[in-house]
Amino acid sequence: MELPRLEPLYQKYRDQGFSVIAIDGRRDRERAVKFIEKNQLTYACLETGEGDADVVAQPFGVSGYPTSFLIDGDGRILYFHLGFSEGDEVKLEKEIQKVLAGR
Amino acid sequence: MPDVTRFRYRRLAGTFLLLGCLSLLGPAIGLADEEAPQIDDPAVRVEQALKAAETPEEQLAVLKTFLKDYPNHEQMGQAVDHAAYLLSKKLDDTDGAVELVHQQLQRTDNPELVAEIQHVLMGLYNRPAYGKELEALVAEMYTLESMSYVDHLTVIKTAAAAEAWTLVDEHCVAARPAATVEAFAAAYPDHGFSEQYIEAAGKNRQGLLDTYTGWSAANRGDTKAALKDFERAHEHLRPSYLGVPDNELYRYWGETLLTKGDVDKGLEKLALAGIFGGDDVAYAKAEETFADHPGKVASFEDYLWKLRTKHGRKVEDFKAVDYEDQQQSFDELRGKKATLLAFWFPT
Repeated sequence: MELPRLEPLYQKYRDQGFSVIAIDGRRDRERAVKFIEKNQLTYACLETGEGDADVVAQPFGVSGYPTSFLIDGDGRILYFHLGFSEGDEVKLEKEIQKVLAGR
Repeated sequence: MPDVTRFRYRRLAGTFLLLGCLSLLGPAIGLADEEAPQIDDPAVRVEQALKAAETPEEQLAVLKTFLKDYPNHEQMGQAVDHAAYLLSKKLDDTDGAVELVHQQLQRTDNPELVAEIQHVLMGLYNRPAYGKELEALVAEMYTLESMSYVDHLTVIKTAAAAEAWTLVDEHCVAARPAATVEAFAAAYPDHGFSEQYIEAAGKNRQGLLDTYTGWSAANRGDTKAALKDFERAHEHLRPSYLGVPDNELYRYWGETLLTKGDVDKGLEKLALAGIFGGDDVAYAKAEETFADHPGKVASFEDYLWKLRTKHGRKVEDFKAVDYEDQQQSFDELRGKKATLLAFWFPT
């Protein structure tokens, strides 16, 4: 999912126990920081490593970007999404609401 | 077009390469010098001109002009690929794409270009209407002895989509000797893969062949043999992170179980492929199956929710650095009720 589209969702649901963690698979710090500042992203943004130092993307089996996982309060992945198309944020918001409501 | 940055859209990458290379195309597409007097590099002018083409029809015209004016150009294969993509995917004219590719095949005898264009044609034959043509094309392109495992797999996948079951079976059999741990190790002697990786990759090859052998058996009505093949495929395929194999196994397995009358298990496989395998076809089939067999659960959404909470993989805590080099842990950052973990690729 494109990061700027996640910001409104984060703002809307953060008080209900929702958080967003963005992980940059490119490791191009300059480019990433510029993008984050330009789009005024306020949620957590981290870097994955590369090769053997890749502590994040590889264990998650990420094979393309963007890839998103929606995780519930118990740490279970309940929803997975690859790519981004028009209307995906509507679908994602519904999924977030379901996970927040626990159903 | 979904915005997937890597891996998925080979043709986009091909397009950029094409744009960068068609230095001869400038005059042919009528981009007058006075419109961009400051740019000397014709390749850049071409890139701008193709970008400026507002519709797939206009882009197609650009490519056709190039193919007409510069036969045997080293970028011919890519231009044909791009044109075929526009016709079949953007303009919904697969027959037109097939015709264009055939015409271009007649216009070159450069073996490398012929091979590239034949591959484009094979990609277009991945539908039932072209089963016979696919068989003929494969016979023209390869001899069984000369084929690598990857060649076989390409033919098998295309043949399965074209429902050319004889071709599927023939290549599954021919590829078997290459689908072992030993054969995989022998094929990549200097790659420095770990033993663990080689073992998984060799078995994965077997699992892929079992998947297609099974789907072919199912389509020939041998459900029993198919289910055995699917069980074996499941044992051999490299497990993906979310637990659903990274190929069509669960969709094929689910559909075969439905044919057998095992609705519960079939529906579960299809739904799992849909939610954790990203298989939209399987998802749609699951939804349709649920509608035809309303069960104890009130709605399809409720059914999926149960499945997700039952099979959803647990995320272990991990650490990564932020942009100020501070170690952060997942457990500290995650939400009490929900967390979206978003992998992205700054462009």
